[in-house]
Amino acid sequence: MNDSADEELLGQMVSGSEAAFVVLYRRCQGPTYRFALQMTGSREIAEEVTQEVFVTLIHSGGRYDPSRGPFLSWLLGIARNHVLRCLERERRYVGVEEGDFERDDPPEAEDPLAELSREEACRNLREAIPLLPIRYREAIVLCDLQEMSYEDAARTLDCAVGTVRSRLHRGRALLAAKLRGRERCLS
Amino acid sequence: MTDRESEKVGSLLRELASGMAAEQAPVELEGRLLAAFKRHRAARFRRRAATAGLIAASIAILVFSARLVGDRDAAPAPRAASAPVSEPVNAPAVAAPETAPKRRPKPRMARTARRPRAAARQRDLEVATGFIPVAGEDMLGSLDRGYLVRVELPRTALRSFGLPMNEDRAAERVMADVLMGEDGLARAIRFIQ
Repeated sequence: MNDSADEELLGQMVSGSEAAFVVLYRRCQGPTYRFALQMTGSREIAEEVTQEVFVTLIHSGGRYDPSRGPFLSWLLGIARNHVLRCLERERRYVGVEEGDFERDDPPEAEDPLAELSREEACRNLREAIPLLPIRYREAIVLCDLQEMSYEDAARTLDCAVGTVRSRLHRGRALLAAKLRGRERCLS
Repeated sequence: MTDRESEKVGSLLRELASGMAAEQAPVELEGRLLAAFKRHRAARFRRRAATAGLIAASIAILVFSARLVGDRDAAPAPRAASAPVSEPVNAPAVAAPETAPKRRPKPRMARTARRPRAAARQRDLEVATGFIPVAGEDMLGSLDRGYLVRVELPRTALRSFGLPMNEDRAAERVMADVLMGEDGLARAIRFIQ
């Protein structure tokens, strides 16, 4: 059963197989939890979202349509809806406007990021991601952190592949600007 | 954003992704979800049993009514909405071919003569699911003879048998063929579109 495809396991789960549910959960809980954690920066919300996603799967697993993409894309689409609902409810992270990341003046050093230690840069990046506007954050989390293909990310986000590409590019640019700003503050 | 910056951000994102690869949901969540799964399965079983009971009751009423009419007309008891199944039933997931009703010719030829053609036309338009066991596959395997009974059910019955249902059409009804054993128990069901 461990080697079965997600779709096959889902079919067995919908028919009432507890073992199939356990295998499917163990296989998909990691990506789901990480997606929610990277989107919100909160372990509590990530746990809540993961629980909600799998409860939805238990009740509505039969709605999955394999012709509309891989199972994990569909599952992360559910996770995305729950994350957006949680963020709306908590209003924990106030979306930062794009202008807040940008500076008009060009970078002073040729490579200002190099001055940050790698560890610190990573930490800064981790803190900056949940502050990105949601549309760019989703693209960064799915494509860069979850290493999902553009096509699968587009299915999860229910948008065109070109939109994913442009949001990804813009999101990376905003992150670079954010890191540049932090480096300036430190110097 | 310069190319070097873009490369740097990409590299940091990859590093962050690999650093978070070991992040997992808390272990106790699995237990909570497993309990939720068991509760849902039990509830679905109860719903399915209730649906099967409803089907059996409908069929019993139908058969009883048909017999009453048959006795009153002093004619052989008709099986109003049922067709005998001559061949044994095999795998439940395979759509069994619909058997043609073997009716005796009745005196009211003017009305009944057109029925087989109409029924055949309707059958041509129908798409059926495979047979789904209602009361366990063991009971289905031991079935030698039975009857197909056409019934109408609430569309929500689809969900009870693990089939997808369009929520927008939840209020509508759906046709189904119920496979009955000679003992009057429902053995399997297939849904018709």
